[in-house]
Amino acid sequence: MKGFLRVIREVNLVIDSIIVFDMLLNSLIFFLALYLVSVLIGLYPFYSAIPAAMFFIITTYLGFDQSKALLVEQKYPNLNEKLRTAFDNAYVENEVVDDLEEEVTDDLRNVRVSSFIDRKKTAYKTSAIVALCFVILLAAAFGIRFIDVNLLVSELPEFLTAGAGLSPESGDTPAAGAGESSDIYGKEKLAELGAEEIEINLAAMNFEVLSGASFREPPEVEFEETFPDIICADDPGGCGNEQYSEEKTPVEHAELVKNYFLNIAK
Amino acid sequence: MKNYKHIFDTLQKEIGRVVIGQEAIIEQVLIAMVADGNALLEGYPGLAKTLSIKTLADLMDLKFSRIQNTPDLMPSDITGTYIIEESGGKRNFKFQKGPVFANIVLADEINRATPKTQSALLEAMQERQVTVGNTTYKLEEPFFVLATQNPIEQEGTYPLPEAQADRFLLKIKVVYPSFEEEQKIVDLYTSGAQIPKMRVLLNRQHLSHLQSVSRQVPIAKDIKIRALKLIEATRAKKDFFHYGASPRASIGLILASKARALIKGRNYVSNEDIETLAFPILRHRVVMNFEAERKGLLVDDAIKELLKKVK
Repeated sequence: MKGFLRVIREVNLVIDSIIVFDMLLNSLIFFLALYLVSVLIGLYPFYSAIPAAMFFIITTYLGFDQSKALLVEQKYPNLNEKLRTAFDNAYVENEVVDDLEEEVTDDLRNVRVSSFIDRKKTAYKTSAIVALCFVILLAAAFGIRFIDVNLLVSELPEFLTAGAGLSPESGDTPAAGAGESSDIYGKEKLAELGAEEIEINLAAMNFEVLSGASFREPPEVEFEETFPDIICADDPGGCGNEQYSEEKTPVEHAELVKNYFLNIAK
Repeated sequence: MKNYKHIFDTLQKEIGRVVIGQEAIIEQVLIAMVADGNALLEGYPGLAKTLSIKTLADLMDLKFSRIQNTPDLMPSDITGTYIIEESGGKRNFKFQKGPVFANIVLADEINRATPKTQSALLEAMQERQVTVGNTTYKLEEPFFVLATQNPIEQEGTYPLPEAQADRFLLKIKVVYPSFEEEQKIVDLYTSGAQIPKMRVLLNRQHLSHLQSVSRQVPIAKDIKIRALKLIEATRAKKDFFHYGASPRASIGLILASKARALIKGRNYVSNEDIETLAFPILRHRVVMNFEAERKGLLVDDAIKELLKKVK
């Protein structure tokens, strides 16, 4: 009986590890698919790890809950009903059960672990994982985004978002320029343009990496406190005596500039 | 297990020398014997019911007796009675054992006996004892009642009451032989050749060992649950049955399945055993309702439906 209990443990262990491997692949596909969707709709992509982890836990639990004997029997019809019976009566000791356990142990020698791994399915799953990884990389590199859920939420009418934690007031600070503008230009379209995020790419320039030895102290330069004559010449109060200066623009010039910009805006 | 299979194969082969065909019937009678139960054989006259049982008894070193049931048969004709015995000038009452004191009792045409006489077998079948007057006599082990009845000529018959029918482990339907089998039967019994004599293959020790081994045959949990659900369905399924089977049917189905597994040389009970034995186990334990009978549904059809539904 002890020998057969060891056989049962071994069968359970092998089948369990295959189930874990299979569910891991499934969960990875699920995670990557969710990640891709998150990237495309502008959600924080690492949140997709939560449903993927839940999927893994549930499917693995259900997999563990299955009868291992039944799984083996499905692959090996010569063990049909025999294995289940031996598993269920592992703790019974009598002439017939001992004979059955011996027979089942012999039959189990012909059971190959590889027969439980569907190579075709595993290959498809692995390919799907690789493909998804590539698509995610491409989507990230080119900044592909079909819709921005955050923006959609911010544009929802207030009565829909109220209480759901979606209103712009309740969450993040609105982007600069959003909302009503009361400046002199007063155009809504312009104000909306200001609400868009600007992507600034910093182009890499040629630069040198300086080694520690090449650093040297900047030369000390002493500046004279006296202002050049050209600045101080127009100032009747004299340099050094005034703390600020005021721009004296004629009123007609200011009107001219204002009208110019108003025309442009029209 | 192969040894056990060999024993039963040899038995069947030996019976086959006298009884042509009817392998399924003989197998079921053997199942009843290995499961330590009684069997009721139902079939038209001339289908070798009595011959099969008689041959089987001949193959085993067991005491065999036959009761030909008639409406005027009295219970004491079965159980035995007290007779006055004179010895040494004294007269004493002595118990004269009836035909029930045997290992295999063949109750031929049991439905021709009156209910009172039929019920005399009741205690013997269930308790393995007989009470006459104030004294209870234990019957010898093993003890089997193998009864026969025919489904025609119902005038003047007394159908077995449900309580008594329930005490039979199996109700075996005896069918007509095939054309080829009938040809062989005719050749054997009309050519003037001598009917082969049976040799004893089993004794009571062998039989009781087989009975104990059959109880050791393991059964998987899901197969056992299916068997129980099947019996439970006869009670729940009101569109077929008026009355369902009792828990005695559940016990019988599992025991008979174990016995069949042993006869087939298997060391475990299979779903096939349950499906095969559901018919002889249930057909005399359920009562069809009016609607099912109106539709012309037979008990076996209803059991077949149940087997399809209970997976």
